[in-house]
Amino acid sequence: MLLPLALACAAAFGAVARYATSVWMQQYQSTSLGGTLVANVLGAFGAGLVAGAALSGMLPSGWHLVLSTGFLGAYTTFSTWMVESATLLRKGRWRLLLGYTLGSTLLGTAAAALGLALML
Amino acid sequence: MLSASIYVVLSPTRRRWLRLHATIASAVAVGGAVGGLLRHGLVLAFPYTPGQVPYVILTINVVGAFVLGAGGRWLVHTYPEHRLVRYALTTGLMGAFTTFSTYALDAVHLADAGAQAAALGYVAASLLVGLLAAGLGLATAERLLNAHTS
Repeated sequence: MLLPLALACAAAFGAVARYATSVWMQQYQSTSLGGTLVANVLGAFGAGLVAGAALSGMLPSGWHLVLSTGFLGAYTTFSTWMVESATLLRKGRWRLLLGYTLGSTLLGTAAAALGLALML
Repeated sequence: MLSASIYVVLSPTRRRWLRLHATIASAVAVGGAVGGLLRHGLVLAFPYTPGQVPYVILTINVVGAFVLGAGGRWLVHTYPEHRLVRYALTTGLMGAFTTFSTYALDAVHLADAGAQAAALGYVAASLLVGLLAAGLGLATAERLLNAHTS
């Protein structure tokens, strides 16, 4: 009972942290793309760190679940990223679409791999 | 005590800004808690281990992209005044239900396990089907809204 409760709290904080990231990033640019990109890449790096720490036995499995599935899972978002991309597609902004989708994926997987490598 | 004394020294404009974002953040928190629990429940029901293709995450992400596209667009047009409900359901619920960190990490785990083709296939499928689902969602909402007004 305690674990789902902790996970739900962590997810609530994760979602609020993503909202704060997007409010903060909107000071620098008018679209929502930058906030989503920053949250997703930072979150992927965090997921790599947490997974690496768990694999090395530094982090109990309960903490792993709460931090990774709860906080970082909710901090990052796939749905917003895809709806923003679909909007770029419908506007015919091909170059930005390609850069945003592939750039997020490349930076995200590189960040996750780096986080994992740092902890192993 | 500390937060109350900080609040007191703020200018009225700053106070309004803080109140607005604190209110939205609490709506986002409620939706986020539910979204995170839903995702966790589905992963418990359809478990996978690192190095396997996470079909459950792929499904969650694609379904979430469709629901956010359709629901977000529909809510903005139908209930523009219910901003907090919209934030709870879009940024909170769907944002937390779907995940990018697990998507990126699972792709790395697949590649580490020697399944480079599966890793590439997982990334490509997530991108293409996710984009299609979000686009279909937006189009669905527009059809519903047009049918409603005509």
